[in-house]
Amino acid sequence: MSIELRPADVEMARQDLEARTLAEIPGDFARLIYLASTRDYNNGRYYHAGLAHKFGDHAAALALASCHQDVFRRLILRPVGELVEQLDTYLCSTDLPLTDVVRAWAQLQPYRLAVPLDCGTLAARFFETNVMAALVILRSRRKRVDLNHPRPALPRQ
Amino acid sequence: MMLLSILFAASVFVFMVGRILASRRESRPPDEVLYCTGEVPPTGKEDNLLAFGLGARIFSSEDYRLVQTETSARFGGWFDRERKALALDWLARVRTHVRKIIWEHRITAARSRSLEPAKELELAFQFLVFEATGRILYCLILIQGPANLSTVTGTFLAVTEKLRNLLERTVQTPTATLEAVKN
Repeated sequence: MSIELRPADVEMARQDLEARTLAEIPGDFARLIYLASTRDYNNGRYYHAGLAHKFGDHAAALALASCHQDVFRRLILRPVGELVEQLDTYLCSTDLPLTDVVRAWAQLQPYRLAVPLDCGTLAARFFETNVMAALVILRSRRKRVDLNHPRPALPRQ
Repeated sequence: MMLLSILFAASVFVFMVGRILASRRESRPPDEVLYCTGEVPPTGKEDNLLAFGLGARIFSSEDYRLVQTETSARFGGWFDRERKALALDWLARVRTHVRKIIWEHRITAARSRSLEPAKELELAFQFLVFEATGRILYCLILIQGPANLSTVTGTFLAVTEKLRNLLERTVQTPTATLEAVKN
């Protein structure tokens, strides 16, 4: 038995996702990472247990995909300067040493997996260039801050 | 006669080398294979995304200034090269779209019984302006990169917009390609 999908269900799932989940996440960059994490990398399908329970698998997947595209679109249309702030907010929220995260991100480039499936190669490459630039800028800013305000050395035991 | 044969052979050789180099340049860089999207043919969504001001963002000088002031010269150089490649790619896609629409319109117009010569002439002229502006923009991107080209890009976008409006008025049934170039 197949359940008919209604556009209203998708819209309601979208609104629910935006109001209850995405609104709690600080910044579009963190939202992008979150939404990408709801996607199965083997088949590209989105899944969210709560949304699926409430609105059905298909409506939930469509709502997640739609939000993912919207967030990505907003991000790529922002100047690199704003992306630096977004990235800073996200990396600070991870509670990990920023220099380590920046180094790992620069090498592993996990943000490549955060791109929506059908965004196109041009947009994906543009996003990648911008994130790379934002990372380098963030790292150089951190270095400057560390040089101006060096951390006190730990006492020897 | 001998000289002519040598010249002919040399020109054929140069042409063949040019073709090979051009085909190599068009091939995707290997790291793009990492994108699962890279192997998917362009979709309407990609085209719409292209239209959502991505062109203006690629040519924005704000990002260049920030990168040049806050990063090393080496990274700045890499950023410039990336943006140049992106700008050329974007321009090529827009030009391909418009050419496709004009080609479709040419086929439709050839069968049409209610052709308006004045409109067709205007369309042809506007397409020539579009092609000329596109070529100028292409050369400028190659020479100096996409930064500080906002005026020429603005002109190119205005010409494209004018052509699109003209096509909307001329083409009775909007095609999928025309829909893609919208916005």
